[in-house]
This record gives sequence, C-alpha cells and structure tokens, in this order.
Amino acid sequence: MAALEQPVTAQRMTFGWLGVVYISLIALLILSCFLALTVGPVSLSFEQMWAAVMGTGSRGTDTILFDIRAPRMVLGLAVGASLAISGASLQGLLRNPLADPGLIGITAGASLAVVFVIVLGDAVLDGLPAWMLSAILPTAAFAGGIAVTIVVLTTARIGETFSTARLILVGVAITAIAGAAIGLMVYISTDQQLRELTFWTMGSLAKSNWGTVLIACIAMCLASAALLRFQHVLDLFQLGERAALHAGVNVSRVKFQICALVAVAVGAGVSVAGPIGFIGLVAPHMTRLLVRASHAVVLPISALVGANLLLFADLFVRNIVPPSEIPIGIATSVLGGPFFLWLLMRTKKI
Amino acid sequence: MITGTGITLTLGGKTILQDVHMTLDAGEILAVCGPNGAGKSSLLSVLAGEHASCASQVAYDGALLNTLSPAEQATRRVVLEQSPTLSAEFCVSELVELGAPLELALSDLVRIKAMLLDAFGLAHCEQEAVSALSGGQRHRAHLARVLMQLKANTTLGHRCALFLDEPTASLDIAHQISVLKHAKQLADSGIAVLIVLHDLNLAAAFADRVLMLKDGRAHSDGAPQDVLTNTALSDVYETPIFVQPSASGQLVIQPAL
Repeated sequence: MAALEQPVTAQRMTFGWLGVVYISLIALLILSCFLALTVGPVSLSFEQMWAAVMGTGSRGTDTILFDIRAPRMVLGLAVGASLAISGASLQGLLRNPLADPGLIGITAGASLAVVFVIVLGDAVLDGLPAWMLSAILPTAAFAGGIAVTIVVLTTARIGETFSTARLILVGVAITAIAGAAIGLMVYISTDQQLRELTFWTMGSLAKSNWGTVLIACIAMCLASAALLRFQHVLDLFQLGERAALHAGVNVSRVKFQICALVAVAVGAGVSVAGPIGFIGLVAPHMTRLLVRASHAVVLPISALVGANLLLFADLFVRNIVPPSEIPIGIATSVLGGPFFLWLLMRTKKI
Repeated sequence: MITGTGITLTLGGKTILQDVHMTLDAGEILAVCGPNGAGKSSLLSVLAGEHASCASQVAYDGALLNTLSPAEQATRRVVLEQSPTLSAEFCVSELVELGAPLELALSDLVRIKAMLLDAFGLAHCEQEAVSALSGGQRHRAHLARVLMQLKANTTLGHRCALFLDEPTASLDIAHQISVLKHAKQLADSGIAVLIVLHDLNLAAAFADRVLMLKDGRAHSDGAPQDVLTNTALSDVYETPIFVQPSASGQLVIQPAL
C-alpha cells in the first residue's frame, strides 16, 4: 500500500482550520477583485474608484471601471468558480483525479462549433446586423458544447447502465475527432480568421460586455449551485458505484445529471471566455491539499480557489506586456502545468 | 421477508443463475455456500437489486424490487461488498458516517457511530485515514459503515435486512468469529441476515439455514445438519469431504484424506 510509505496520520481538520481556510480565501478573493478593478494599462487609485462608485468620477474612469473591468471581473469570478466546481464534481463522480471538464468532450465541442462559424460562416453571416453577429459565436460555442456532451453521454450509455470507463474513452475519441476538424479549419483559414481563432482556442476574458456576461454568469451560477447539492451523493460515489447504489443512489441518473450540469456550466463559460484549461483540474487538487476530502467542503472551497486562480491569471496576462494581452489559457497552463507536476511528484498514490 | 422466485440471471449470453427459489426470514442467518463460480455473489447482487433484468423475481415483504426506487431499496437492505473500496481520503469516522442517511438525527448518528466504533475496535483510530489502516481494520470500518446504515434504518422505523458477501475473507480467526457473533446478535434482534460464506465450518457454527448452490442452481436448502452431509458436500465440491459432529454437537467439516 502506497499509503503506508507516507503515513497519512490525517491531521485533524477542525472547524477552526476550516474557518481559517474560508476566511483567507475570501480575503484573497476580495484582494484579487480589487486588483482586477484598479490595476491595468490605466491604473486607478482607490480615490478614483470611490469617486466612480459614488457617481462623481470622470467619464473615462467610469468607462474603464464599469464597462471594461467590472464585467471582466464578474466573468472571471464566475468562470473560475464554475470550472473548479465542475472539475471537482467530475473528479468525484468518475473517481479519477485526472478528470477535467475537457475530458467529456465539452470544450472540444464548443471550440469546434466556433471554429466552424468563424472559418465557414462568412458567406452566410455577412448580411446580419452587428448585434446578432456578436451573439452568434457565444451561442455556437454553447450549442456545440452541449451537443457534443449529448453525443458523448448517449454513446457511453448501454441500456440502463452508464459506464465510467466508456464515458472517458468516448470523450477522448470525440475530442480527438474534434481536434482533427479544428486543425483542418485552421489550415484553410485566412490570416484574419486565424487571429480570431486564437481567442477561441486559448481563451480570454477580454471580450466581456455586460449583456453576454450576465446571461452566461446566470447559467454558470445556477448550474454550479445545482452541483453543490450533490455533495453527499459524490461522497457516496467514493465507495464505488455498487456501494453507492446500495446506499440508495440512483447511479445512472445521477451520473447523467452531473454531466449535464457540468456541460451547462462549462458551456456557458466557454461561450464567453473560450476554453480555459487547467483550472478545473488544478483548483480541486489545491483544495484537497488544504482541507479534508468530504465534498461538502471540497466543492465550495474549490470554487473559491478557482475564482482566485483565474482572477490572478487574468491580472498576470493583462499586465505583463501592456497594452497587448497574451491568451489566458497560456497563463493558466504555465502556472497550472508545473504545479500539477509538483503535485504528482509529491504524492505517490496515483 | 425476502423471497426470490425463479431467479434466472444471464450475463453476456452466459447463464449465471437458473431458476433459484429462496426465502430469507426475519431473525435468521442464511448462509449461501457453494464452490467458486456457483453464483453465490451473483445471487446476493440480484437480491440487492443490482440487476434490473431480475427485478421482478425478488420481493421484499411482498413488494417487487422493480416497484421500489434505489432510495427505498436502501431502507430495506444493506450490503457489505466482498472487497469494499474507497477512493477519497476519508478518516474512519467520516467513512462510518457515510452509511447514515440524511434523515437520521445528529444525536442518533453520534450515538450509533460511537457504539459501532467501539464494537469493532476502531475507537482509537477514529481520526485516522482509512487508507492508513491494515486490511482487516479497513474491512471492519466498512462493516461499521454498513451497520450504521442498518441501525439508522431500524431507528427510522424501517425493517431492514443485512447482506454480507464473504465478510470473513480478509479477517483473522478471532475477528471472523467476532463478526459472525455480531451478525448472530443482529439476527436474534429480528434482522434477516444473508451471508455468502466459503468457510463451511463457520456456516455450520453460525447459520440457521444453509442454501447450497452448484452451477447456478439451488442444490439444497435447509438446516446445516441436513445440507452439510458427507454425500451432499462430496457431490457439490466433487471432492471427498467428511462431516462429523464434535463432542459439543457442532459439525466439523474436513477433507477426507
């Protein structure tokens, strides 16, 4: 048993410790929100921000704060938190520490739909009014993500049962097929289209305006809140699917419900921010370093960790070479990849 | 009372169980015995409601399994698997609490948990990670989790049966006896207990009734002294086996060498 090499005399995580973790993460989140609003190519002082909030700020400050940075911050919070909750739920559901929302094909589906629209849509979309054009890519991303998830879920289903290994394998296959199609689209695209594609293959919070952000955030919040209600069921899943059934869980139905909720949460996020990798994988793992394994704790703490990670990553990409931005997916991978390797070196259990 | 009527289970074109009729009454221990591959664990999984195709062949107090939701089934029977697993880093106390349904009052949960941890010698390692326990301790921790569900069900007023699949396989002889004594106490308090058991001597010592399976069929069903006989066992296991009552009247089963 690997566990014996590294005796986990489980530290007693009392309420006191949990309280410290909650308070620190919330404090950190307030700090990152504050930085997200004030730091940027145009720095705002606390006084300027206060004036803007009180309605006495200059027009320029108002625009930067309310129309550019505030929606971006809200989007960052919602995407980070919902990716983390989705990742933690999938890891719990599939009892696989490597599970990630990308695994069930949803990210690939969303990207594929968007790439199709960008590269092949010109002829059809030319005549449409501007407001419709701005809504068409998010809609395509959302629809593509959900459609691929439905394909994956129905293919992975045999009769009434719903095999986990099959779910992962179908997800891998669909992701590979979508990857090939995206590659082909990229190959035939023009230079201008290629630029647009970068956003949709690496993710960014830059395209946030209140209209799309609010719709997406409502979907993400509702799906994430619904996932939180599965905490006890996810704990039971750690005993294996048979034992979960013996404990009264309707195993197939729950698997379908959780995957569908993850599809909605992640699909809504991808539709406005593109596919942002690693948050769904890394945030739950960081959480489990801090607190015990019960999902009643892991899910909400993961959400806080994920929101923090994404806001700090966004702060990083906005300010490293201003005024240009590198895609946030690069930042999350640069930060997340090494962290994940460190995590793997540290634990001998996987 | 649980009844199985003509239980027939086919998996992947292979017949695992064929036309098995059985009953399990409140207050008795039924040992399901038989050679490897006879269908013992499959019978348990059918009775536990894992196979939708057999759901109309099993009834709990007259209610067919296919009319009961998974949640309702969980109030009528609890199951300890042969090799229980745990993927998350839970401590012993958290594992045992997993057995408790959400409806159980906190005071009852605390009381039952303390009683079970004490009964299975786990009180001193309550806060230890389950993965750090020895194999035997881990199995007892899972048994405590399952009995938590059982006691919670009886506390909430449900009549609940206990299914154990090879509960003694990973335990030393002292713990084997202690687990079966615990099952005996539960049976004496009116619980229906079904145990899949390889060890015929333990079956003879603790079971009220033995169901002997062979090749997916019920070979014999009755009191231990009627089922565990020289001729029957030698026939079922296709090996000469010798049964003799000891001085205390208990059956002793050994290979005839």
